[in-house]
Amino acid sequence: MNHEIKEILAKVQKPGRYTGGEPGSVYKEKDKVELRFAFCFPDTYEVGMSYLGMKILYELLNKMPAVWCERCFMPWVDMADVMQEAGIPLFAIESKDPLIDFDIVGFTLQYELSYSNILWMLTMAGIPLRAEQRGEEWPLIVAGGPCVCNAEPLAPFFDVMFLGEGEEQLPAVCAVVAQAKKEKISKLELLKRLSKIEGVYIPSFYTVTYLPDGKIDAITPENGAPAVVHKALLKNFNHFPLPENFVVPMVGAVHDRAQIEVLRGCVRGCRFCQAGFIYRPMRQRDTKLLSESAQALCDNTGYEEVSLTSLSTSDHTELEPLLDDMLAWTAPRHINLSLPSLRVDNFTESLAQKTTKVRKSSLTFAPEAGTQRLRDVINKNVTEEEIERTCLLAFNNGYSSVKLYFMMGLPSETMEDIEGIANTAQRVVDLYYSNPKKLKGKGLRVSISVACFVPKPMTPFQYCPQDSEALLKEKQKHLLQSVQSKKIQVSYHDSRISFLEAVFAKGDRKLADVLELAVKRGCRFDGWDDQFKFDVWMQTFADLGIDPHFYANRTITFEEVKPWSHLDYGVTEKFLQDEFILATKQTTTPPCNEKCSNCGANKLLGGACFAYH
Amino acid sequence: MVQINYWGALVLRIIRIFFTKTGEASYISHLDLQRVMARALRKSQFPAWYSKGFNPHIYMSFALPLPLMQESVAETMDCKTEAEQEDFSNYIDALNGALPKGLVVKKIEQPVYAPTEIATALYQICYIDIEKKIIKQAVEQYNASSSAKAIRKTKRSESEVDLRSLVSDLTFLETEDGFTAILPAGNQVNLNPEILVNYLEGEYQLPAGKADILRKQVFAADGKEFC
Repeated sequence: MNHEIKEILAKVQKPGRYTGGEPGSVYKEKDKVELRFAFCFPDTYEVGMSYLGMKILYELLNKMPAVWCERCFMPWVDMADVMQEAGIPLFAIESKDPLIDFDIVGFTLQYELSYSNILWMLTMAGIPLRAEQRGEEWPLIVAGGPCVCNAEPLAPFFDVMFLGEGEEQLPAVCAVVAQAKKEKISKLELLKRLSKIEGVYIPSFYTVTYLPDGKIDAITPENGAPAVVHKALLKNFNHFPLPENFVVPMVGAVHDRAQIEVLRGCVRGCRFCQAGFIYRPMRQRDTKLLSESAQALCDNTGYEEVSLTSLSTSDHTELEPLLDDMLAWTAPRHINLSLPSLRVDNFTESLAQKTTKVRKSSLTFAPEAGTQRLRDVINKNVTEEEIERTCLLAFNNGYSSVKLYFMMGLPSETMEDIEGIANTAQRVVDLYYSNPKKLKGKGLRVSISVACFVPKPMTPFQYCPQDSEALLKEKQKHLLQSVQSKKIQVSYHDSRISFLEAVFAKGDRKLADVLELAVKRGCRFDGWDDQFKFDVWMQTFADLGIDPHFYANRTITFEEVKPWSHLDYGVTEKFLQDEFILATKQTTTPPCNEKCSNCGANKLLGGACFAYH
Repeated sequence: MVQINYWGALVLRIIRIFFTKTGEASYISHLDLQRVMARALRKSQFPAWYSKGFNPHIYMSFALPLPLMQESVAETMDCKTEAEQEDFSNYIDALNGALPKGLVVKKIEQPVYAPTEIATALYQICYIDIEKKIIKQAVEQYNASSSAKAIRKTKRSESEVDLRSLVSDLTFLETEDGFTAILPAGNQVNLNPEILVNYLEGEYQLPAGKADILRKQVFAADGKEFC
């Protein structure tokens, strides 16, 4: 490690975030590989190291002998300032080489508020921000992750974006880029070749024109690009190998554990949830593969907890047999099994027992709305009775702490629905104290976390406006007043952060100028309460003559061209419109593994998603 | 160090692991070091003894904890074992495969001294981008001085120490652009070399930010190398 870096590390908090060398990290000889890939996570080391997608792709790419994948995280503000002062460019933590030495610099777009960090990282790396400013001598700047379903505000900065799943896409892209290096072709030629790979979207191959009222007129392809880009889907997910080794962080190891992805996609169709729709169709992994991979992972890393990760783990049809398989080897080794993302409506007695065998954690459920009426509108098919039954089950199994997730600002919401949140929490408290079986002396902790609803593209609610800031504040106040018991703890976020998220979620390419200027003015870590500079953002919008409310607070019509109209994730626009209409009628849609509602995702599989009876 | 049970049989003994902590590993805090070592011992299947009960944990004891950002080629960690073999060197490769970059196990042996017998440690302090003659001059001036007062800070208080009474002559190194110094170490009197480095910055303008501190050897009270 060179001395310049050593000297600045002495000046910052938690220098171990920037040193690499963790057990499981991969070191190759840079002269012996054909392609160097820098996987960049636009948030701190601690946040990035809990992201499973990075671990999957890191192992996958490094298994290719010709490729070396290294990691890079957004330096915390103290380190970023010190690096700028010392003139040290952003580097990957394994080799400590600057990002400009790499062939591909890839960012994962996890949430909209990380966009400013992305531009900050490019600036720190000394890489020109706009794709058109970069010729063949610069690394290819690419993006993947969930936000790519509408990353149009970032379109002018990226050469390539990946729609959908990366397991097959990314190695294919690396092979093409390595070959292009050998042939020394032009950047345009390289982009043309890449555009032929399924899931690959080249933003510069599309021209966006606007109508006088600000809406989009047309998105026009050129250079042989398709009118619509379809996402890449891992058809063989059920038997696709899982990572068997993780990089084990030494710094910030709090909720650090082994993770196995038990299924991908979701059958529930909750109308606010983007992830549930963009990862369709739902595919579940073979249980034997899961258990064996988890065991290898624990052997290699020494982790003492395994998390069964997915959008809705209890929807795996073989979950109980899987747990039984895993308990056979985890229990004797004192390894805890953790099930995040449990559904209220299928949490059973035996599930409760299997997950409390080793160590008890607190249970988390997401009713999302406080009244049955509103839950039907959002298609969260959960009844009051089920919530109570599940909490009772949890209490009887020794849990004395329950966390409930809600949202406010949902379409058609009234103050009555807000009171419903408080009432639901109160009923849980009453249930606990009236339960004769409860543990003596143990007080109850019910915490409710209420997020502000952000309408997202590719969901039935993409047409909806977000509640105004004033209304959200009023609702937060009303909620606090409605909560009576001291046993209930309420937490919620700054609604202005949610507002900015809503602007970028449905934003178009015009926002790129806003983003660039706001970053120049010092905006970064926007998702962090103490770093968020709302006033700077608002001033920047005003200075550039762009109205953020156009994106966040406007009802979008069915007919208009949306910034993401040229991107296809399987689910059709017709389906989303039908679901929106059903929502206005407070009518629910059953889970798609019970009854197919023709969302359109099955065309990606080439047949029915499930064996219906 | 050796426990004998009622029947006179060897039950539990202490094994000493000698390792280096350099480069990236110098940024691993002591707490993280314990976690990292425990994981590596588990992964390599080293026959370390674990406490009984619901949450078994490993017994580990570090002889002389190393401050963050200092390097060392003379670190030791003790653990207990019920295994009867004499030679544990066959575990060295497995351990090193499980450890992060910069932590390297060199040997595993029966302990000779107890950690409480540690008295001094030899440190090598080298400077980057500083002219050799400036370093040499500082060393000579320090050696010529009769007292060197510095402030020693602990969590609760500050006290003044005379470095000359604790640290005898520094030895200038021609080939390394630095010097070596022997400082008191252990649980009786322990001096962090950082105090010396800061003193040399204040008194002789040798910038502390350009100094690399390396612990090279640890000695017992009888002057022999701690092992």
